[in-house]
Amino acid sequence: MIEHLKQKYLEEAHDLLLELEKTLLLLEENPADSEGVEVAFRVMHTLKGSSGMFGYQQVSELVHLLENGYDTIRTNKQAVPLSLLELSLESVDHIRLLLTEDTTNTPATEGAHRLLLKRAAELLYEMPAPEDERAMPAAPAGKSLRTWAIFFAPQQDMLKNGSNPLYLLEELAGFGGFRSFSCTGQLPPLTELDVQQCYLSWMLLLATEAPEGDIRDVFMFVEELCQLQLEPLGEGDLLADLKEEQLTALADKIALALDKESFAAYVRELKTTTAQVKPVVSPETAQETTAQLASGVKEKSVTSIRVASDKLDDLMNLVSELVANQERLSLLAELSMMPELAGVAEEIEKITRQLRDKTFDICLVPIGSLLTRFKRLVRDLSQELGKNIAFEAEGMDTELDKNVIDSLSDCLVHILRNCIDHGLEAEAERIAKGKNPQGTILLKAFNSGTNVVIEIKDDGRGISSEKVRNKAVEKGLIRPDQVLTEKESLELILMPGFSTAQSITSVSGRGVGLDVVKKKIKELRGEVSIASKVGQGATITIALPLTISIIDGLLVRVADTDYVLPLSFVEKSYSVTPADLLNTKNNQLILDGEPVIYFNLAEAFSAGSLSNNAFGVVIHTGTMRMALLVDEIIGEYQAVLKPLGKFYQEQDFLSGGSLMGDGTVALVLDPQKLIQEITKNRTIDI
Amino acid sequence: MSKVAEQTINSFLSFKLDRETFGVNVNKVIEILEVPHITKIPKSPAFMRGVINLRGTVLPVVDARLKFGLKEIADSVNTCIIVFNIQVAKEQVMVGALVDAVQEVFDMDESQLMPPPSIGGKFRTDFIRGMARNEDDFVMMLDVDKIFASEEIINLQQEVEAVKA
Amino acid sequence: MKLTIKARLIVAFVLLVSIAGTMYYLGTANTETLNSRLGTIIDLNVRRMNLAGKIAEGVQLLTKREKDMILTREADRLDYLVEEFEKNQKILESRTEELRSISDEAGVEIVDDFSNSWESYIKEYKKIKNLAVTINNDSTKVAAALISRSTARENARAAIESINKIVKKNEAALVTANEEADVLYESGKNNMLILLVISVLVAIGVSTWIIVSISSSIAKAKEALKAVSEGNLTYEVDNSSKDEIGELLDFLKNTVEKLKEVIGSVTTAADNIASASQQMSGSSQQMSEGATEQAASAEEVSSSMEEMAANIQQNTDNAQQTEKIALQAAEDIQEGSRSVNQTVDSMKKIAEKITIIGEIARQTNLLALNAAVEAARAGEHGKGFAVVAAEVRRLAERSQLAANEINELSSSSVAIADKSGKLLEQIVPNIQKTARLVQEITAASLEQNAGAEQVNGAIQQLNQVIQQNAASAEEMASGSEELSSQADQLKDTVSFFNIGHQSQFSQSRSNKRKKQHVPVVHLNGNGVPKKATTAKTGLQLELNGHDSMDSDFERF
Repeated sequence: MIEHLKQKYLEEAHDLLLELEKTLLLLEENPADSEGVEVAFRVMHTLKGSSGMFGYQQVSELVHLLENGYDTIRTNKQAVPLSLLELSLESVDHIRLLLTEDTTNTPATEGAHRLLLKRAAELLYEMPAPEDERAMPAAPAGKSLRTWAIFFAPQQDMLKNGSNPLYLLEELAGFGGFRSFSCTGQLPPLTELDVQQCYLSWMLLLATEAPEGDIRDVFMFVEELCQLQLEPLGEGDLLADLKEEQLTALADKIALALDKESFAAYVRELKTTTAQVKPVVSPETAQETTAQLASGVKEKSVTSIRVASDKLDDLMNLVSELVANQERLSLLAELSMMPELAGVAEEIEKITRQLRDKTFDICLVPIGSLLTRFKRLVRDLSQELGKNIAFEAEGMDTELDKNVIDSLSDCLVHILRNCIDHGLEAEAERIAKGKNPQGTILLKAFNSGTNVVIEIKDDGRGISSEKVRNKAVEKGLIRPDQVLTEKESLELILMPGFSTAQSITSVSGRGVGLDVVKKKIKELRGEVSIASKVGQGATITIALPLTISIIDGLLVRVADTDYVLPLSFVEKSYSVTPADLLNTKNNQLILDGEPVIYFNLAEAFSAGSLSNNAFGVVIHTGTMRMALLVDEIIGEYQAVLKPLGKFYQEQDFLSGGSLMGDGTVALVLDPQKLIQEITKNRTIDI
Repeated sequence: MSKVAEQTINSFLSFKLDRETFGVNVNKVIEILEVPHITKIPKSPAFMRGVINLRGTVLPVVDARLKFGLKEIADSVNTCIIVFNIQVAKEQVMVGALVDAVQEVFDMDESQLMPPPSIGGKFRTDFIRGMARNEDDFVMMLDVDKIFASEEIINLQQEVEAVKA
Repeated sequence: MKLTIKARLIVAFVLLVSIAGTMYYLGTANTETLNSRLGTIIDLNVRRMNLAGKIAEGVQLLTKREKDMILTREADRLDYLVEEFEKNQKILESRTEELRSISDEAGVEIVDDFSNSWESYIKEYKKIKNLAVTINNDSTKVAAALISRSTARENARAAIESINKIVKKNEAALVTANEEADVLYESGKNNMLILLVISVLVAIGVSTWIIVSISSSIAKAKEALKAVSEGNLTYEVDNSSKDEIGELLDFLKNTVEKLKEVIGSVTTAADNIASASQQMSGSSQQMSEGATEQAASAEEVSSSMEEMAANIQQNTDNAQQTEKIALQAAEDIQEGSRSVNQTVDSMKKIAEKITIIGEIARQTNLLALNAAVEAARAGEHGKGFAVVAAEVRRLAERSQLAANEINELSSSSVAIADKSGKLLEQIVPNIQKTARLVQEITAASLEQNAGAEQVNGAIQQLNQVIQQNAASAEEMASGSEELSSQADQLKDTVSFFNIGHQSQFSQSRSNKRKKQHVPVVHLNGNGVPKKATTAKTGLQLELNGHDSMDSDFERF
């Protein structure tokens, strides 16, 4: 059990280290980010506590020192000194080393550890004194104080698992005002007492600014080993308001008996007494609270829970497999001619569909979840660069797969940086040009067909295609005589090794960035395009396929391979005989009296000939209508999309694979890319 | 998985290709599979055999014979897929390699590995980390990361000869 | 005269016949001459006379008409008269011509005279006619009458006279003819008489000559035949004549000679027969003995045959048993073959199952490898498990090897069992063939058995034949005795003829009374010779003794 918990601790610690690292990197970019400091502090605190608990004393002491540093900064609302950040990053690396068992006690690490401790101590000593309430505009106003009643009843064998409830109580005491009432009613006579058992339970009163999540985090490692209940008593520090007699009376009562019901009763009692004492919440605080709720993008809903993303991935996979198997079941039910089975299969199909949709829903994250990050970025950058920029967002409730969102955020950051750095003029320049002194960046997201489109639009100086072109020639990216459309010219800036900025600033201009964006978007199967008008601004458009990992498709067979055509593209299916193909002209087939360009998949994909009773599936994308000739149409199919991976990036006309019920893999076609591929080949043929 | 990848493990999995025996460090190996139905991917190089369903994920399969420039033979009952966890451009990628037969897992210290002779540029021996003697067999230790990162067909025969020389 | 009796008779008759012929000729010749004379008379002369009469008649008629013409004046009458006249004129002229044709020279002259006269008359007539008819008036009539009474009349008279001359001439010719016939008759009668006399003379002479020559020869023949009838064959026939009777004598002489020879040879032959019959009698005896031996042999053959039949029966029984065994064997082998096939099937199933085991072993091997990989990656902690995995792998490998070996073994056993199954299957038809052959042998044995029976029957028949042969031999012996006595009799008979050698007969007579007893063996119906000494069959011998042969036996 200890091993199990230790493992859990290690995982947690690694995650925390990752988070810390990320935060530190962010802080390095924006050392004044108090939120980052908060995060860093909180992470360190958690890490310190758990490390101590599991006997990683070295980690614990190092983190403790650093935590103190951040605590100082936090309380002083200071910007983090770069030296501290550097030390923190080194410490992160060191802690990782410490956490890998076998290397803990080597003299080298021992030395490094001592050195780090020394440096940390020195740094703390040199820590600048708290400055005045300097302008830190984003610094949040004092958080609302809240009093909680906590019912904590550890299981009797909790001690055996290496958890010490007292540590937890101590930690809670660190959150703010704290009173604990223990129930000793369960204690057996001394003769029968087992020292390894925990017979006590507590009712705790805590007045703190920390949100509920943080309080719960304290109990994270013992969650399964105890009964825990959190009940808000009211706003403000009610502890101070309570009279000592009342508390002792309560303590007496609690000492005798404490369980869920009595806890609820005590809470009710306390609530009434506190209400008597302080019947109304002060109006400012209330105002503050509501204002905060309104302005903040719903960062965390009260009812939501955090789920590890890989659990979601697992869920998604399971649902995928369920869908695949359900498809198979439906097929079998259809074949079996058993009405009962068909009914059951239908029911299961319905449920599966619901489950699938719900799971999708879970996995979909609104793009707005990234917004704060962008806002801060814009704010920080504009301050750094001394530009006056308004950041607007539209369609932030457009949802995307969480994995896409993760990848996308970096890209958008890159683009925003570029906009701010190169696109928008300085205030003076704008005035000179007769523009609104405040520059505007518009982030707009919307659904368009099967795509999600994200536009980043600025009203800056725009991009000169001529300039881009010259630059590209200069850099040897294109030949001087190469003829390019304006769009093509503009999109040269997405090529690797391109940077038009004359001077390299700290923000951008390293010539890496946009090409990385393009690469990333391509990995997400999306497209980047640029439009610009000199003097009026530029628009970068990212079109991403709705990465729905389960699509309703038409299952067809070409040679011995199954393909899935997304149903949203399929218009109609026809039977096609070899005779029909004999008299075709210009690759056109007459279907329903209309000529349709056709494409023989069997020929192109398997170098085989079409079967005698083939089918033509007419697909249409926004721009084209085309008949794909396949050997067999098997039927509708819910395809669970799986990426084909790095090795098949070239075959981008396939959006992925789908696992069939019989364990084989069907290939999901991307009609748009397929048509691109076909037309590309066609022109080459000509 | 990534945790242990850093550790040095001195166990090797040996397998057969044509007449040669090759070895790879087991930390690169995830598992060994029998050959299931392989879905071909159109318009891909011949050595890319296609994809299979590996417990819910789509796994690309490389025909090691073709990848190494050996001639194609029909799959036999001994033909196996070794699922490798390789590092390509700092990413961990899983890939299956179709080999003629898998032999055994054996322990050997890295120090026993004879380094490949550095022959002046005629043959590249990048893909072979070294040569070892297991019982009375010579085992070529392959650097799977490099092998599968390369998108070309590797003339392994030449490499093997170069190493043996 | 060397003429034969035949020739003599021919000459005599030829003479007589030729004389008769001459007589006939002479008679005939005379008659014919007479006949021709008569014909001539009747044909020519009578006809001339007749014609001449008619002509004369006609002339008178015409003249009368001529007169009528003158007399009448009537036209019709005239026309009729003219017509009548001209008609009769024509008849008259034609008759005249006929007469002319049958008249002789003298006659013709007379006819010419008539014609001349007639023509002149006609001239006159024409004048009359012209006058009387054409003009027909009184003057003309008168003129015509004048003419008629003058010239016309004269001419008519001349014509009639001429005709009369003809009649007279022919009457004379008739008278001469009659005289000539009388002469001829007389000469014929004389010639015939002469010839008759000559023929009588010739006939008498010839007959005398013939009779004398025949009678002498016949007398000689009579003499010779008389001698032979008396048994004397030594008589010599004398013959001188060369005619038919002489030849007869010659033949007679030859006949006597030949008879003499025949009698001699008959005598010799009779002697020979007598001795031969004695020899035959001996042979018969021998034959009889032979028959006895044959009968004994037949007995032996018969018993051997029975023995053989018994053997054949045994063969048949054995063959039938063999057949049964062979069929049983075939069935057993088929059963065996089925069992082998079942074995093969089972082995194949085993091989299949073993394949499954091999497959499991292979998969276990893979699993163990996977486990080994997993264990190796777990590092130090996996060490223990790695050992286990290696052990499992080794076991899997061993079971795979074992499975492979079993597979090989089972496939080779399948091959062997298959082969033995095939061999067994191949044996079955052979055994069945054997059974069939044995069946054939059984059938053949049965046939042999039947054959042996037949042979036995044949031997019985043979026995009978032998018995018959014995009887025949007995008969033959008696026959030869008879023959001998007959030969003696013959000799006695032939001795009547005297042929000149008497010694032969006395020699044959000395053997005549020597009688011989020819023993004859009696055989019973079964061809087994009866032994008189055996008491049991003695009665049968007695019974058998009553057959007809006994009487034959008694007669000797």
